[in-house]
Amino acid sequence: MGFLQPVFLWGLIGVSVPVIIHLFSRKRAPAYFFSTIKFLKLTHKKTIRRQKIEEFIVLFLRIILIICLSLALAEPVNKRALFSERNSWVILILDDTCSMSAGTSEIPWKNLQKSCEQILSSVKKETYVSAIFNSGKIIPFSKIHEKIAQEIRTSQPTFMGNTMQSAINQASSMLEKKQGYKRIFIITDLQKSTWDNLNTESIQKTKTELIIVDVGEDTRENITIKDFYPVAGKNRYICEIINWTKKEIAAEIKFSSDGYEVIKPVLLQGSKKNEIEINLEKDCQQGKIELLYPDVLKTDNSFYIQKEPSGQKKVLIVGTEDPSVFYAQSSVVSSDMISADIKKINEITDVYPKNYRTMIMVNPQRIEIPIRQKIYNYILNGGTLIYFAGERIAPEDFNSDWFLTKENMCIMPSKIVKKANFSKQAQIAYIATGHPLFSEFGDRIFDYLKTTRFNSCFSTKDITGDILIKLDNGYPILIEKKLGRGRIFLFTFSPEQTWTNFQRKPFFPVMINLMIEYLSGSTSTASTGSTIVINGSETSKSVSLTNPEGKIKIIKNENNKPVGYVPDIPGIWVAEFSNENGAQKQIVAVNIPYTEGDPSKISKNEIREIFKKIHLNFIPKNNTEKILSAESSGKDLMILLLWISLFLLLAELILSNVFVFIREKGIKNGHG
Amino acid sequence: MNKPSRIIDPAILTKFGNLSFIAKTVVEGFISGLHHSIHKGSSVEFAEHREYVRGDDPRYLDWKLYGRTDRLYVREFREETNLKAYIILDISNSMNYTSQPQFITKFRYAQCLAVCLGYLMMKQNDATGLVVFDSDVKKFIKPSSTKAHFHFLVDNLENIRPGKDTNIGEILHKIANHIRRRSLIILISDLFDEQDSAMRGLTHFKYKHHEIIVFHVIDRGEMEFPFDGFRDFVDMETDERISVDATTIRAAYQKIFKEFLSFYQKGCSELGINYARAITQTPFDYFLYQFLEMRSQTK
Repeated sequence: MGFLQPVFLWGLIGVSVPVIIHLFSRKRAPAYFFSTIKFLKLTHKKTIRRQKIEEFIVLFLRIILIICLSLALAEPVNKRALFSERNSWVILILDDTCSMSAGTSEIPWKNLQKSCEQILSSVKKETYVSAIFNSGKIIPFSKIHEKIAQEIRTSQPTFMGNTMQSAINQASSMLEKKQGYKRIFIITDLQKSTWDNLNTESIQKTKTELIIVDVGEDTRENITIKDFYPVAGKNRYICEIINWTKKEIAAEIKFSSDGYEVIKPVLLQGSKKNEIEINLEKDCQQGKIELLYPDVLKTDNSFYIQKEPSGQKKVLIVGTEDPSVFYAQSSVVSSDMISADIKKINEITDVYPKNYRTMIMVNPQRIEIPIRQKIYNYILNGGTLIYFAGERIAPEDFNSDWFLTKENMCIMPSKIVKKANFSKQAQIAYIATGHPLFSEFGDRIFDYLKTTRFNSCFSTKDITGDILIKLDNGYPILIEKKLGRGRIFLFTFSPEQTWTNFQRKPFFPVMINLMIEYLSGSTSTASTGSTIVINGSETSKSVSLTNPEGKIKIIKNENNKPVGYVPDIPGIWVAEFSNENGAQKQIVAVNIPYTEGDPSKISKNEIREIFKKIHLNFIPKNNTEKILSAESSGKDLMILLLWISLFLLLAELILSNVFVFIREKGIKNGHG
Repeated sequence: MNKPSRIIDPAILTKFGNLSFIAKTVVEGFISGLHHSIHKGSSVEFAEHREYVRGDDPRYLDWKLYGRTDRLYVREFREETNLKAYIILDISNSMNYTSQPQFITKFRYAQCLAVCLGYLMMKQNDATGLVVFDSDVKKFIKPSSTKAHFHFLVDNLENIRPGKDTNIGEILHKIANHIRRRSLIILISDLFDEQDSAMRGLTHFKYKHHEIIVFHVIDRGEMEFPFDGFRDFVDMETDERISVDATTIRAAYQKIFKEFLSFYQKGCSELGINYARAITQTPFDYFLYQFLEMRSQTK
């Protein structure tokens, strides 16, 4: 705090005047010898206390009045804000995420640019200024503020949805060893997702003042596509759409692929994720789904999909060396299009839908928790688990220790009670012929399975999935459950001779292959701003990367490690390279993170919670210039002080008269 | 008793004359022809003869007159007035107060009042004594009715000066114990002491069958408190100091002071004590005339 007219601070000496009057007025009062003061004492005792309080109040008002008046006339200023001292460091953190382009009337990015100009014009020449964009771009410290302003003027918001984390870390490292006054302006639309899971430890140590400049819109309405993926059934897809508003919205979705288009009207319920089923008439490898609704993000409100390239599917068979695995393996490899890896349960280290679309578990041993978690995530992300129960599965283990330890890890469609040995061999009595797996066979399927017999299977309880096959004695032998983007098929028997002859029937490998075929059609999508690894590129010397706009970039690979890239615009990205297997191509559909469409803003209190120890200030929307100029000139404070002075003056006049009035009235009434 | 034909301002009177002169001027001015003492004495003198009627005490038969006239007469007597009186004068420093420089102090007023009373009683052959006190008894002069004694009293009164603080209650007890014979007690004081204690002192006199007169000497300023603004008031007896806003407390002060005066007036009335409030701005002769007139009516 400083003063433009410090000479007026001498006025503070004036504080002593009422104090002196207060302290010495009585001593200077004429001494009068009176016959006795005992009657005065009686009178005075009643009034002296109140009189003293009243005198003190009036004295206090007078002192404050003089202080306020002196300070107001001295024109207070925030010297730090003026940056008049050397060694002042200012960093502008610019939120250039996709949401900054959102807006129905005014784009936050324009407000950001304006605010930056205003901040830069308020900063003194000697101050070092730097700018850090959320997307990663950095303008280093410089005293040439105009150059920084020019760069900000010409920059645009990205299609990414980064959090503040990298920018804050960068700012912390830039300020860490700097001495002097440090200030960071975060200019942002305050979109909630930008602030998720921030680690602010680094910035807490820099002793920096943080100013959050709000440039976002207060309210806006939006709906966004979260995901688009195929589900079991021929060319069936689910489109997940989030309606961020609270009201029901009618819109249309349009799927297009190589001239083929499907438009479907949809009614989207408010504040929730809506799952819309779409049936395409043809198998599309690649496509774009659009939401025909004005998108506040100012993009084309579309979502790109890319199905896995057709070709050989890879299956992971997990189990020990026993006959059941043999049957599973033999049923899988009977197809030329499918290859299988066999691993023991403890050998599962990397299991992702991209590596193995399907995992077949046959009579597995106990599975440790970290591996369970991997399998769980694998299914959530679109992987499929075909699970054959067997002798090794202890029902207790299966039910309580394996999948039911945590509710969210309960991936099985039912609980297993115990192995049931049938006194009379059982036959298949029910098949869900309407299910996509079996629909193409029609009723002929019963002919294929009429000689199939079962000696035993597990009895089940608490079934949460759909029963696909049931025996004539009522025991279900195939149950299906959807989990995330993946599925689980539970066979309640082991493909061994002692249990059944099903695995030896010609329909068995057909059924397994159909399962794998249907379940391997998941789409592969990625988000702008996240790293995409080009699988198989480790042995390639260079990768040719083509972005959705058709621009080609050659990435050299000198480390013999898989090449990665960070897509910055949505659309289809194509990476081409060649390795020992010949020419390879990885096509990825890249979309803007759906959270960017979320219009909800973070509150001041939530921000305070994030930056616990940091000195925070907030500049509301369109107030940057006003607040900064007021801060530097202190005019607002001066006006406030003058108002206070006026108020105190009036209060002093009124109170002193009121006190005298009350006192006289009270004494006249004999209350003392 | 005639109403004083001229009323002289006490301030002027005290300015030009000594106490003897004041007493003479004041008393002579209105008591010529005064037949009654202010005191009802206990000794008797012969008044007249009356024809004997049955039932009269035969001790009072005048046998000599019977011898001369051959008729029975009884002798009748009347009270004598030249008995003992004590003027008890408060000379505490509070008595040395006057609210206006042009007025006389309460002390001076009391001095004059004492000497006037002394002169008045000497004229009637009443024996007058003097007791002077502040926090203790300073002088004790036994009563006598001679002219020389009156001058001795005047000399003593002339030479006394206001003393310290006062302790009326205790002093009155002390004096009451000292005076054995039934007397007239005239207390001249502002009575600025603990009220109950002072009242108990007066009761002590009454208990001893003395007749009591209280001259309560008050300055008008003490009653009206005619001050304004903040002032430091210093107690004349204790030097204690208090700062007050005189304007704002005046009404309350007047109320309390009135209660103080009423206390003594009412208290004395209940005990059968003659109480007279002497405002120092009131001329002596006028005050004494009024007092004696009031007293003659109540006698």
